[in-house]
Amino acid sequence: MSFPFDPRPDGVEVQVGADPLLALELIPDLLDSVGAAEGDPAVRRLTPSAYPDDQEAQEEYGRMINPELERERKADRRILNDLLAARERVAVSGKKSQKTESPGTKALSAEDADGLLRVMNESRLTLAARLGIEDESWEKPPESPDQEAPHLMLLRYLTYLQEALIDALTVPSD
Amino acid sequence: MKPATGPTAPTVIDRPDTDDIVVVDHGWNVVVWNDPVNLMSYVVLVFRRLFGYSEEKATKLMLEVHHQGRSIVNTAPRERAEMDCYALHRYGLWATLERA
Repeated sequence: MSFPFDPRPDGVEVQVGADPLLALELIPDLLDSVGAAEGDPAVRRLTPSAYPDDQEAQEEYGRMINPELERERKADRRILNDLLAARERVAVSGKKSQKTESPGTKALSAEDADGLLRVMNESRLTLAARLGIEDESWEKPPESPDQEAPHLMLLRYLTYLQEALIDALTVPSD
Repeated sequence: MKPATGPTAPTVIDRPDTDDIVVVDHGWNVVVWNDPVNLMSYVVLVFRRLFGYSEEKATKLMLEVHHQGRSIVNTAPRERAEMDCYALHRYGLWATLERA
């Protein structure tokens, strides 16, 4: 159950035109908004403390780590942006995204697929922090899906996509 | 044949200064905490990727996190432990460090 991600020996193949990937189009704006509002709880969740009981050690750790974390997250975002660009090309032209691939698909190496997983997770944590989620009750199916908060719907959708990508990456090899 | 030796003369030895406190560094524990958002399958995948653990060991540690609220996923010298903690933060896991 890995649709729209198909396992490959060296990563995954993404069916870039697939409807479920629509949720990925919302990620760039979502992540751009992190920290824009004062007191955004997502900031704290995305930069957790390694030394919660030692402020001095934490400050030193943060000085060393946070710039690197930001740089690597931007690199992960580029993987998503490339995927969204491929999706856009397929939507516009319906032509092959690359010569060596099937129409409407994009191959991701295992490393790039991990980057996409991290971006999805960063987005899910952002949504969860803003929704104030503190336990697992959010996972229960909604009684009235139509009345569910948009951020919670997006969280569920990204969860589905993340599970599908994990399935594709962890399928047992023959 | 070596000649026999007589009694050894007493010598003065340096006594250790017992006021000095010696802290033995047993390393640092990398602790992962339970989180209601990260998927179990994702946590297993991360443990396998970062620490090279088997599916069985990664699953055992993930279940510890899930049921006990936390799990020590590695113990290492401080610099190594900080890099592990950073890598876990990069994947969005809630990790902290504590003296072993």
